[in-house]
Amino acid sequence: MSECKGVLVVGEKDTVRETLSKATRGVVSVGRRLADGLSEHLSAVFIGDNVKDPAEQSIRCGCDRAYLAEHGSLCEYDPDLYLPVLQKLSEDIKPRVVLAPHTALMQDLFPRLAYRLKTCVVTDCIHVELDDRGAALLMTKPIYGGNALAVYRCSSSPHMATIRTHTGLSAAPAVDNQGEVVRLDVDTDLHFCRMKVTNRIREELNGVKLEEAEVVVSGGRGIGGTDGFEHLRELAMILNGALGASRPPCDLGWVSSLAQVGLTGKMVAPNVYFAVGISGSMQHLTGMYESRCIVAINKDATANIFKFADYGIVGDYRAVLPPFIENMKELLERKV
Amino acid sequence: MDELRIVVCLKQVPDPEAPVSAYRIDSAAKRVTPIGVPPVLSPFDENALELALRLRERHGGKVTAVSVGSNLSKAVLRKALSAGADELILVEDPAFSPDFLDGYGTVLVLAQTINKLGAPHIILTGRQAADTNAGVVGLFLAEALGIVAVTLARGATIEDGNIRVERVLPDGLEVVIATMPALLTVTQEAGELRNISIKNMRDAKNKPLKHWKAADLGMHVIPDRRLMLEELAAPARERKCLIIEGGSPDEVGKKLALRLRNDNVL
Repeated sequence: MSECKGVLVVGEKDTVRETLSKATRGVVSVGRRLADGLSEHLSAVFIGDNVKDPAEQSIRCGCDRAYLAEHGSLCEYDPDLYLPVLQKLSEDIKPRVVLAPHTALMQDLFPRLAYRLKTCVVTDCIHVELDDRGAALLMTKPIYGGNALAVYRCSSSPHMATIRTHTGLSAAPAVDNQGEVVRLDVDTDLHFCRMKVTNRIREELNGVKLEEAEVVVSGGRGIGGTDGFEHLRELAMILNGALGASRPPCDLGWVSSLAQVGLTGKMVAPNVYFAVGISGSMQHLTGMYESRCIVAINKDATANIFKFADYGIVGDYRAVLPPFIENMKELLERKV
Repeated sequence: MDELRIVVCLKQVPDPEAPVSAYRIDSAAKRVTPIGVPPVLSPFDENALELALRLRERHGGKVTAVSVGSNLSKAVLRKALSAGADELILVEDPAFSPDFLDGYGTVLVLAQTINKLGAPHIILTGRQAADTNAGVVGLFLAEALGIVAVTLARGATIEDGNIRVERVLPDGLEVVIATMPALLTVTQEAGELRNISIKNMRDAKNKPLKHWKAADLGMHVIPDRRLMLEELAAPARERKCLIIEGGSPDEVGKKLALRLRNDNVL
């Protein structure tokens, strides 16, 4: 194990902006902290058909080296193509720690990679740090739907973790860091094509992206139906925010399941989070408790959500929201 | 193709819908003890079972439910038979307690179990377990068996000897065609497990329920844990809530707006 050195971040690019993804930037800053603690190098690796820009940006964000596996055949994620690249790189450079943002793609990729590297992975970590001797990575994650926090250590190498990517993870500002870009050989004969994407439907997004919104207005079972969500939509629009939901409204079909905030939905940490008609189950709280300010509106004064909120109203949202929206609108207009 | 063989992997967990107060966290013993919370099937595993039953309805075949552990509750796992699985295999051994087995160890036991059963065409697991929330076992198992894995499935059918999977994306949906045998991890969008009638439960009593131990799988050495639990703590994140009060909803709504404005929240 002693021969393992350095920290490797498996990076992703923002496919819309063609830049280093915000989540990867956050993980690069985590990786930098670990590498500095170890006095070792921080590297990043990018796979795709056009990933030179994000690779160079990762160096400006603090990486000492960025590996690049660029090929037309790699434009779409296929584990059978991506895994050999990462396996070979890991075997060559023998990193001590391998990190990635906890995105949909990495949730699919990292367990496979961990198995191939004969190690394990801790997914959805909210914190990682080195132990006192600097030898092992201590990985903290919520378990039991957020009812407990577990700290894990891995006895095999490398130590692998995916890091939760809420917006609260502050990305290191780009500095004038120097580093090198290393191109990896890509074996293009590898393709034996065990799976193929034949169709993809992207849901149209109106307004701000949930994970990036500064304000999130979420509704729960207490909203009562599709119509009620129109009030929340209105509030979200006025505040330039996004609409969210706890699990029941999604399961009941009142809103798209893509709006789900929680352990198995989106993880958010906006400036202000409105929880309307949400009782506050752990699995929902886990997805939003790092919000800077939480406002709860619920008929039930004993609802769990009030324990986690900064401001609360005990009452029927149907009666309270319209005057709140009216007054908020006025106050915001006065500001301008 | 011969008769379709589907294996569904099930895990028994403390009811994730239980109130927060039901979870007692013993930091010294590094254990979570749910008080008065009965175990249930992990909800995503129920989604996986439902998808298995739909596949059988459409294409015929046999659904085998498998669970690995120690202290398995027959009452909880028998639900798989009541819902429609054709047989249930409880792979139970003191050596398979979570104190000894991590995700990797569990996968080795599952892989042995599946080898003993004979290679299935489709293996289904939940996207992640409701207790550890790792999402590792399904993908590890596919790697261990050397088969293709498609994650976050909400639906599947068989077409021309391949499996066609509807896969949930963060911003939509994609259709993946994969070769078989294949492992799918199933997400909640697949839908809830069907309702179970008294008759279903009675019928389930006549279905085969097998008990296998470590020795039955030829497993005499339990793999070393790769993952160690160092600490367990209750999350500290309660806040002090300022309740806005007033004589009427109009007043309360207005007061909240002013308050958020004055406190520079909005």
